[in-house]
Amino acid sequence: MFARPLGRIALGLALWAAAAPPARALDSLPAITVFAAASLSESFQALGAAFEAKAHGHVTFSFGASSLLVTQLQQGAPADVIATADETTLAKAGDLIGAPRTFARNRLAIAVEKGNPKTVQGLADLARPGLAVVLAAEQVPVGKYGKEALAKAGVTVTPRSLEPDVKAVLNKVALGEADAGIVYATDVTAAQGKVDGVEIPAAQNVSANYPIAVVKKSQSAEAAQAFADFVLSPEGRTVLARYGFAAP
Amino acid sequence: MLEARLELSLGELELRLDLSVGAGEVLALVGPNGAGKTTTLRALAGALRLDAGRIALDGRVLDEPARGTFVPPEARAVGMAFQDRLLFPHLTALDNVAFGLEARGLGRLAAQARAREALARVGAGGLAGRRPAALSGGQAQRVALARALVLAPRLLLLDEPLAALDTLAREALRDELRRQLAGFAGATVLVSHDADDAKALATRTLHIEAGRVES
Amino acid sequence: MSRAPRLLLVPALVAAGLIGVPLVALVVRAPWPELSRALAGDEARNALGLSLVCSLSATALSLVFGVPLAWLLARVDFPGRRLLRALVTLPMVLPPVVGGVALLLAFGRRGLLGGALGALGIQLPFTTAGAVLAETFVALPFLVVAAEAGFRQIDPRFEEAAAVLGAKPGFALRRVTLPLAAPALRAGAALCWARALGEFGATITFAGSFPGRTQTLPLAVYLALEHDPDAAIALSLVLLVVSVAALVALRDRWLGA
Repeated sequence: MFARPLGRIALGLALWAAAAPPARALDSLPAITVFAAASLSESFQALGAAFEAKAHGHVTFSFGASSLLVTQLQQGAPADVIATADETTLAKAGDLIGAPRTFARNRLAIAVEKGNPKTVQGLADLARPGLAVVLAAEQVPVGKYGKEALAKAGVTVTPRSLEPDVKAVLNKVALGEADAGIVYATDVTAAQGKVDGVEIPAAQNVSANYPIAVVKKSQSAEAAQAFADFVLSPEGRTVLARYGFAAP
Repeated sequence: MLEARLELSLGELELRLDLSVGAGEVLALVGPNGAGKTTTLRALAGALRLDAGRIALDGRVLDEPARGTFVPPEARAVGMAFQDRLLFPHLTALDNVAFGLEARGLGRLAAQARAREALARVGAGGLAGRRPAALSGGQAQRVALARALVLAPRLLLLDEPLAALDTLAREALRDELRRQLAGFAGATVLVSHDADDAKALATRTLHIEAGRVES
Repeated sequence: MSRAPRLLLVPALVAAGLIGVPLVALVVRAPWPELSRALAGDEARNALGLSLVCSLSATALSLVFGVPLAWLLARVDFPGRRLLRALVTLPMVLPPVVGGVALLLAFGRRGLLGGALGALGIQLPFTTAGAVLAETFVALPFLVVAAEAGFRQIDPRFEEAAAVLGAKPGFALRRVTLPLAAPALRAGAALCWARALGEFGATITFAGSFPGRTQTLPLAVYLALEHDPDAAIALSLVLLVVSVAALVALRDRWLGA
């Protein structure tokens, strides 16, 4: 009684399997999970796509504040690779990771509303009374760097808010709630016209070194290593450069 | 003196009733469920508006759609004991009786004093501090009666005052009611589904069915 | 004692465990030695104080504006009532961050009403008032739903009786309707307060996060989690203790259970 419908289902499955793309290509390496800093969102997704296109296995990303990602790793979250926005934060992961390698550098920039209506020209302008400035909290790498840059420039700023990650800072500016915020140069590029960027001269600017490391407990060590190597490769560097990162 | 010509449609009920009750008179409305008895009382109290007709109490027009006159229930000199008593559950018997007086502007202490007297007059003096939930059927009915009488109304409306009572309580309450009604100077309209109760308490009885007087 | 079918016991225990185990874990795994250090700081005290002020204000606002709305929804049949009710309960299903964005689009600098507010000199984003508004936005529906149910379960004949006895609408509302609805209103207010206290997404999106001004306890926990997990646990415990204390204190006397 069940033979007929079962037979049809089996036939259907066989046809579907035959029509599917060669399974071999995506199965060459197991899937991996990559933890990456919020500022790496766009660039790493591009890297992930390129990595998969080379038939190297499926990549899933989890983006967030570097410090939060390390905490999650310490609490046992399953990640195979981790890339953060500063070396100090990654160092806190201690024994959990292999030797970190710097794969990119990022510099700070001031994000302003499109068209720069408040004519912000530099860090000194951020101290202007009545200007709505938003920064990232000090506990977040970009917040720490921002504080350093402001100290270098000798500027004291009273921010309206101390956001928990750099994308939140960017969003406040993009939504028009804040006049200016200190973000990474790459964030301005990634915002694609929703905000304008004001350069911070090298003398005041702070360079962020982005390290990447393989998680020791990874179930797919080979694939994890392959991804990390890919990020450090010339091809990887080209992709990163497209998003505004500088070479390490 | 109550003069009423009622024309009212409520759901499936079409009420067409002419009433006339003099001072000291007790008119009983008797009929089956759904006949329109409670609806009549609600219209007289002002909880329902007439579609057409006229209600006048002691010469004062309370409701006349044709002239656009309508006196809201809180402004009518009407005292009512409701079906199912409807004693406010969150108030003591005393505060229940005092409610109408306070609503009409009397101060709390004065209202409570008058309420105490009213409770005593209906034989419920010892129940002042009790909540409705702690009252028996007969006791609750006395409190409801006191709540209506304390307002010294010109028109007294009683909706099924003897319903849901055991035989003993019924007898006692019937006697109590007869006493109170004898001493009441205004007009009374009483509703009952029991013809015997009506006969015992009323000076005149009207049989209603489906919104009209049974012919 | 009524005989409950044994079948109910298992899922009931699972439900209790789902809530209970994480909370117990929070207490058991708390770094008790470090707690005093973590709590002594200004950060914790500021965050707690701000949380209490904002959540209580949000509850007060919810009562003042929500109870009349609930009464309207319960007692008055007007065109569009169903739509209004659905609208008011929307924040309950909306992700809080989305609520925050919506608030920005309405009351932010470039928002629908932002210009008008700005002209009056009122700024809401990045202010404590903004945090209160965000909390009210997410918590008000809880009060309205509870209050409407409370009003509905009052026999409307009581209100009619009150009128016939001589009560004008205002008197009847004060002396009959509200007292009879009081248990439901209190339960709704407690729920509303709890929701406001724990609010995160809408607050951080609309009001931002600044210590002493808009950084409520949940925001402080989130930030602490990133750099100092011990402090995060300590702050979480504070929130837990305050909530439990309040709900326990209210339960017998007020929630009428």
